Amino acid sequence: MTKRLFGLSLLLCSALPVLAQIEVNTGNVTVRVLYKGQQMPYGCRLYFSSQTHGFGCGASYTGVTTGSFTLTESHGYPFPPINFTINAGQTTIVDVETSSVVGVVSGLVQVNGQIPNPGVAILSTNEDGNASTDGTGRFNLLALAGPGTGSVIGSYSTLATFPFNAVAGQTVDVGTISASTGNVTVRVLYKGQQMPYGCRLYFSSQTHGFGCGTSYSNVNTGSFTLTESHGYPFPPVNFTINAGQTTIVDVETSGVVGVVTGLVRVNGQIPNPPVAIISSREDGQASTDPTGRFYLVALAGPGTGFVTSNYSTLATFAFNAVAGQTRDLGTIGSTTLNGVIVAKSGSLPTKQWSIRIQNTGINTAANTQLDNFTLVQTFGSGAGPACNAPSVTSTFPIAAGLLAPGTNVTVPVSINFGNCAPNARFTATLTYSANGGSATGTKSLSNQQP
Amino acid sequence: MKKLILSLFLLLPTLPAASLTLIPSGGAISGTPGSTIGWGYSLDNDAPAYLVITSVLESGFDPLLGTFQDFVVNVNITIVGPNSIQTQNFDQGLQQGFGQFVINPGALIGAATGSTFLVNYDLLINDPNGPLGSNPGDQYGLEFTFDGTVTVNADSGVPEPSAIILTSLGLLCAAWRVRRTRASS
Repeated sequence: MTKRLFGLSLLLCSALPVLAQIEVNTGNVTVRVLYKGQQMPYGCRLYFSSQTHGFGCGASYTGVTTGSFTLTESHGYPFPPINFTINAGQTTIVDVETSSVVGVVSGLVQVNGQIPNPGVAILSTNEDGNASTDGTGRFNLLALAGPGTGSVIGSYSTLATFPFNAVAGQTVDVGTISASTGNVTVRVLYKGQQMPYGCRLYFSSQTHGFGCGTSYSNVNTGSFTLTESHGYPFPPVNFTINAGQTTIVDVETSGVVGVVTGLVRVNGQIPNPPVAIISSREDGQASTDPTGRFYLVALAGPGTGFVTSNYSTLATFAFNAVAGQTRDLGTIGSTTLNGVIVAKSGSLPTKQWSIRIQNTGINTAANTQLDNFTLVQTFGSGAGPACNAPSVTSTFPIAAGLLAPGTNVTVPVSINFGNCAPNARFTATLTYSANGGSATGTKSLSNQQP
Repeated sequence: MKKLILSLFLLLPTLPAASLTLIPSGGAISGTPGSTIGWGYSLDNDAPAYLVITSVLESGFDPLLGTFQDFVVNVNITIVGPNSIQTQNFDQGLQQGFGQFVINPGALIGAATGSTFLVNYDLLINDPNGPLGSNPGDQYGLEFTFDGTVTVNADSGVPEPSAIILTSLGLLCAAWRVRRTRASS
């Protein structure tokens, strides 16, 4: 053990001199892009790079490996390469004087005949300079010598363009640049009212996207066309934005969109807090009110809705929206059963009636059963005390098993009609359930003869 | 062989040929908030049996807009004889027709709602009002399904007949008084 420790110590001692020689020499570098000796007084978009770094309009790097480098203009503009050296522990400043290549374009911007608020952006089509207007509407744009095009940029789009011919080292005034803007509001309506329920429809014009009721101000004037972005069957709407005015574009949806309503119960209770309802198509969304009811706008036609809470889906339901109408889906998420008498056999006084129970919902009905069956006489000789109440001799509940959506099962019910006449008429009431009682149903069938 | 197939085809039971259509055709009705409107019906029974309606279910009407009540089961007994057509227009007072829809007073103008009706009926060989009762050839649990829609309109402002009569009487009285005054002066 002692020998091993001694050997390790020797190894470390022999390696120390080598470790000491691994020394990285670094320095710092700053590139300053100047116009007539001053750091670019206006916005600058020129871009230079050396072998190791890219330099925008004045960028600094520390901890750069020492050595000799060459700075070049990255877009190929006519700047001669500049050689520079970074020395260990020192800061190298590299000045790029641009006045022999760059000039200043000056001008005045007016929007709708007025001086705009400061800050309207001015860009050159070449990636050379950018500027913004001051309190008097004036701008000074640095630009590479030669012809170019400037753009006045509003909040969302180009308001005006202007040509210029920049002269290296000089300021050229292009005069007044006039732009006109207006405002636009797109209102998504259902039967003339702003979408009363959540809406996820999305429209766009050539310049802007419009959700369900969006406004933009200081938009360039002109003629535009509004279209539905998802390809839903909304006809295009043409509109015009005039200088200094607000254009309201109404999109009436009731020819394309309907409303589906329903009740939501979570564990048999009104959901609290409310739960969200969304359509699988990007058309509508809603949430439940204090009674658990929701109203969901949806494109006409079949669709699927989701009841969601905390990003999880509680229930799924199918719907078929009808344009311009509201359709009630009943209670969402519950299994829907329907019963009916489909056959009668036997001879009086004992008869056997066949009851068909159908799962008309979209969820499976487990442990379906006929819970009860009653008859109330409504017509016929022997009615009243002369016709003893028919005796339903079957024992309830009568199991009907598992019912997948759209399937049915028929169960028999035995009845002793006693002394009731053949033409006596009854109202039969069927009561059925499934899923441990969470899904129930009742059906009354009138004019039933034995 | 062909004869055998033809004979078998002829022996197949024919489907009950019956149809129920709402009046107005298409089932679209409209009314003002607070009003009661409804549908008539035409029941065409081409079957050689008595058609008896046993239940009506609606699913789809927006409860905010109003409530539906059927007349063909809950109010009346609807039986149509073999190969017969029964037509009944909506009459709220007599409670005739297919059913009524009471529009809630607070329903929004322009709102619309629709429903799919499920009507169950039986086809009975013997007259339900006769002495014989059910027959092995009876068919039970048959159904019609169709749509009805309700639209809430603004009050059109058209005066009712009673208002027209009262106004006319008033004008006649006024004219008579003017004439008397002139004659006496």
